[in-house]
Amino acid sequence: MRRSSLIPAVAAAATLAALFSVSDARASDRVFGYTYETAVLNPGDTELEPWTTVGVGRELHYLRFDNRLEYEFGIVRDLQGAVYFNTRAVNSDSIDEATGARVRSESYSFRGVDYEAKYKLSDPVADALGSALYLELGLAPHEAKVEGKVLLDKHFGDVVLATNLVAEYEQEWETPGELEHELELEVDLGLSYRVSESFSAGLELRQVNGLEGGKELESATLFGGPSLGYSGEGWWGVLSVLPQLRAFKGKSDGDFRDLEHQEKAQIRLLLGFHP
Amino acid sequence: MRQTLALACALTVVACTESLPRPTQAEVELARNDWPDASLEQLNRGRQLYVQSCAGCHALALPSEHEPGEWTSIVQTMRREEEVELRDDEADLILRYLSAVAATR
Repeated sequence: MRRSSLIPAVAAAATLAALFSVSDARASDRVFGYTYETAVLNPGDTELEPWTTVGVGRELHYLRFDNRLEYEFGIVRDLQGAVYFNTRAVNSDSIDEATGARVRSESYSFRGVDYEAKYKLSDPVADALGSALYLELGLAPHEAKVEGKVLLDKHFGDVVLATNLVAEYEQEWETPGELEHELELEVDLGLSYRVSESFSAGLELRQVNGLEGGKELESATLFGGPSLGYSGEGWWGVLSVLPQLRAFKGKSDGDFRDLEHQEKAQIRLLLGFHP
Repeated sequence: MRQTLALACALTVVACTESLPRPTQAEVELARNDWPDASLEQLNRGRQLYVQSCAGCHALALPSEHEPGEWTSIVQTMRREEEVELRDDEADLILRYLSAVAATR
């Protein structure tokens, strides 16, 4: 067999194997990269989740990698906690105000530690609607944040529908004597179909609003795109690719998007490993 | 107005969605074919144990997704291979609930 004809055959075989392989999917395996479901870990269960979120493209060259390492643990029935360690690497261009020249810069920073608690109130199959409350506290060298979410989901056979209402308040004190406040309000919506025992495919929408000083709406954007999930034995993974679809507020000159506050696209790869 | 309508539609869809059925007297009568001492209280307890013991690990299957006879081997397999911690009497109550409701749906 020629090499050129071998590649599609191997790809097809790998796809079929992935679709029809035996799965060890757990309730807490995620099918969305951004939208949370209500499932929590059982008491005593643990999971290690490396997150990678890539923000690509602003008005000038911009590439950002947000890496989080999450350790998740079930505390009592319906309650789980988690600890995150966050780092960020940015490679971007800016205009030097003195010379007008484009300057490229790189930075790498430790973005602090976050603590999470998630409490499940109702189940997406047993009850009419699954629901959970989520609280995250973050502390970094120059900022602190608190994030609250209301999580709702429902299983319709092999279809999962989930929505999150999110509010995040952040304080930054990078410049001595200056304290900046920021409020972000977000609505996430995800729809996913379980194609096989292991594989799910879906769509996600994120509507993100940034309020400068916690009061004035500065940016309102909509992201949307596909989300692919896989559950294997002892691990799961989700890939979401969400381009910015439009800006309702803060549109950049000559563009339908807000490229001052948000990226052209956000991509998230989420993995979970459980013993 | 449009948002209110969309929200009302979404709530209607959710309200009409099938959730895990609560047992009725008809299912108690069916369960008595296999378990003469079956009661509504037992089937309700079986439903509660099913949610408590199983929803933490995997998405719950509706009783109607399997034939009544299949549930016996599913419950046995989960206890043996997945090491679900259930006493014999708890497994029996779950099985009574799942089998009885599966037979009427």
